[in-house]
Amino acid sequence: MGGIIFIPLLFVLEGFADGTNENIQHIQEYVLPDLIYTTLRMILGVSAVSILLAVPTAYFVANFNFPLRRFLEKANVLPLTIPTYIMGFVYASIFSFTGSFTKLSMLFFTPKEIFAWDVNVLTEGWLMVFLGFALYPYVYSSSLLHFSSKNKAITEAASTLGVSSMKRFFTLILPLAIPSILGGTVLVIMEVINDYGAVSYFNVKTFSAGIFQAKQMDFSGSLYLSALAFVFISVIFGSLFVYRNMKRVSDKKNSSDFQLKQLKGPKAMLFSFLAFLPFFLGFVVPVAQLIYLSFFTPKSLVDEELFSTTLESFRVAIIPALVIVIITLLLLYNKYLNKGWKSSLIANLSTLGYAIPGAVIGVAVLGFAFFMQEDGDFYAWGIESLFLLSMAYVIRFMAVGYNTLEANYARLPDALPDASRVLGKSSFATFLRVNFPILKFGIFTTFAVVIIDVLKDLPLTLILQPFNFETLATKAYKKAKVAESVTDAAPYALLLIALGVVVSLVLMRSNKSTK
Amino acid sequence: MSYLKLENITKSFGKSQVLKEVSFAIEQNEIVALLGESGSGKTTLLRIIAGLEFANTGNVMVNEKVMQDASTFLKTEHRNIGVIFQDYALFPHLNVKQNIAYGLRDKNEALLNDFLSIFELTEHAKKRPHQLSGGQQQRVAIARSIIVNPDLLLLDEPFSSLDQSLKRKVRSEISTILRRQNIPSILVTHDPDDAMEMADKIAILQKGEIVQFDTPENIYKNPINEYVGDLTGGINVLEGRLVRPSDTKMVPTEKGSYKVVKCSFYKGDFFITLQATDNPKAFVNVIEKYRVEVGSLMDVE
Repeated sequence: MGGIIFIPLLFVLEGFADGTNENIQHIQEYVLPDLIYTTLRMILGVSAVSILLAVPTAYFVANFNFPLRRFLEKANVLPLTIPTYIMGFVYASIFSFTGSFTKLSMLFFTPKEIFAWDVNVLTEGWLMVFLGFALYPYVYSSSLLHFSSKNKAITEAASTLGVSSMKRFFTLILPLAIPSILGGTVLVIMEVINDYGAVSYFNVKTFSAGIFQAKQMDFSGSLYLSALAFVFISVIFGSLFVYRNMKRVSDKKNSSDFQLKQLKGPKAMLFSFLAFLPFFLGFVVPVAQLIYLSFFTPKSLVDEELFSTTLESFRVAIIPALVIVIITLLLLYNKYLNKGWKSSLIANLSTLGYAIPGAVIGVAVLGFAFFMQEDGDFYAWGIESLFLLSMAYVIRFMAVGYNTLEANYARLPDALPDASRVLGKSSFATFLRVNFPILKFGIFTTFAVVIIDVLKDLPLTLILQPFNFETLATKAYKKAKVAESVTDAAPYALLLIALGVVVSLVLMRSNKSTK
Repeated sequence: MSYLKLENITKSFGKSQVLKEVSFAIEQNEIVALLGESGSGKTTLLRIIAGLEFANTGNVMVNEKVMQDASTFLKTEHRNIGVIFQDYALFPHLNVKQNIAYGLRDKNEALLNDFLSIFELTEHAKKRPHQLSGGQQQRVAIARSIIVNPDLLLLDEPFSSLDQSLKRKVRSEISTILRRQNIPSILVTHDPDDAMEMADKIAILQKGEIVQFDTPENIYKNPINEYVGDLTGGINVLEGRLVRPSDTKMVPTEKGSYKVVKCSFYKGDFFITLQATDNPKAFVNVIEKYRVEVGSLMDVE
């Protein structure tokens, strides 16, 4: 079953088959170089911003005690609940001609002075910064885990040798943290390549934007670009994987509990401010702006449209989430019953979709649908049907479900189902009487996490959405981009963020109880 | 006819061969200890007997019933072999009584209450495992395994997570229960004290092979090689012979061929380490009633 999930992805490679097509030649000559350079620049820029915001914050939180530390430790994960496209258009609205920035500035400056600044954030550079605000929590989480568990014994050992704290940080702590920082950065890169909403709003031409543009003209062009994106991603992630493994020193964790260094006075305030700043920029500012804008949203829009779109979004998200949970349970139980490389490989294959941008998966699934259509009456189930969209969601978000549920397996050591089986219960009875009751909270959490990810998805939904079908994400995007009204998009964006926050809180509780 | 019979069991994980042609048998009501260092294959052998792992080749028979041979593999749930896992593997979502009743086909309230009483768990019947002490958890695990009347009981390092004082008490408790219930059992351990105190026979595993299978007394008195000697209380190799430190005698001399490098108090005696004067890598251990000065010269008999 894991393998079957992977099969439609292979259809993207069909894009290389038609190299003589005129459109493809045009893409090769005029579009491709720019797409590659822009995507690379975006990857580097957003990664740099994310690392700069995340690593010092994680280090402070892991090593020092200062006011609000416990709150900020959790709060710095929350920007992840804001999809990149929402972060993009919210910041664009803040710095627009009549936006909050101008309004606030008018309290201190004259209009003439403000116009003289000529603020324009709709540029590639600013987009890097705004996406960094949304994505730094990936690096923060992986770095925090590293700094909390591994560096403390080393720091103490180095300090007993008389090494200064600055030297300790740059010669020991930072080099050892590289694999963890890279682990988080890989997720940032995945999101940057996947993003379509923000780059199209800012008119930045990355691979995803190119695929959408090509699809409007000719499907073979988008298939070709998707195939190239597939190779591009494989090369980038392959290199990062090799580099990360070269840098990995040891996976051994030091679980000893060390005291945090207590800070007082101005130094404590400074550290509080520094750890608060990323959360402020990545969560407080955009949410405050959306709440402010939502007061101006027409009431009729909130009353009817928002409610019906929310219902429609949940309706389409529930089935793929259910399928993902069931497949994940089967894969994990198969891994327990049949230990060995084969079951691990199948599980890993089924989770590859998350590394591949939504646009590429959308095009791959369409390619698969066209192939099926040639062989049979595919229109009987409809190319632009919810079936295809659900299938694509399963491919894309399988890894989200798998990783969330696998983390919950920490509650279920193999000895428990082993004990049940030696007591005479069949594998199925063991699953029902031991695995399921112990994992039920994890299963519920996984279900909720996948639903929220499906609700937030934009590129995949835009490519495969049936006629007259909208989700919260597509509505928010279209109102902001097409109707150019972030005010109208605000309630949709706020609802998506609120759902994400609720699930994050459940996940935090789940992680705490698993530990 | 032996009660449990293992014949030529081999097992590999990838390229690493964990068990090599392991064969031994145990009789009805016997307790056998599988003793060996970490990675010697003890737990794997236990899992093969329980049916939690396939042997690549070999036969397993319990009470004249084939568990595994070239054409048969009886599933774990059909073997009627009890296992006490290293961390007890109590079901966290069930209380003590539900844990003990888990393997029963028909819930026999009287039998359950008897077991709760025998194992001194009556007042803890409604508690969840995390509310119990280590010793109580262990009693639940044993009760759960024994109540289904298994043909064979396997114990996988059951004392490894207990501290020394509790370990002695629990070891003696379990030993009494197993003898009282007359259940043939295999105890996997890396601690020679567990094996010596509880087992009728000890099988010593070295790199996946059984190198000696005998009574604790015979193994202590006649270890077959240096590995067995070291594992079961320490050994000296003197002129090709294996001699226990307690049987090694030393005599002070002016031109002794050994020098005392360490002398420490050990369980009422003194544990003395000697280093050969002509070979700094050769050491001999001696247990004596008296303390000697570090640096003294000795001859060894």
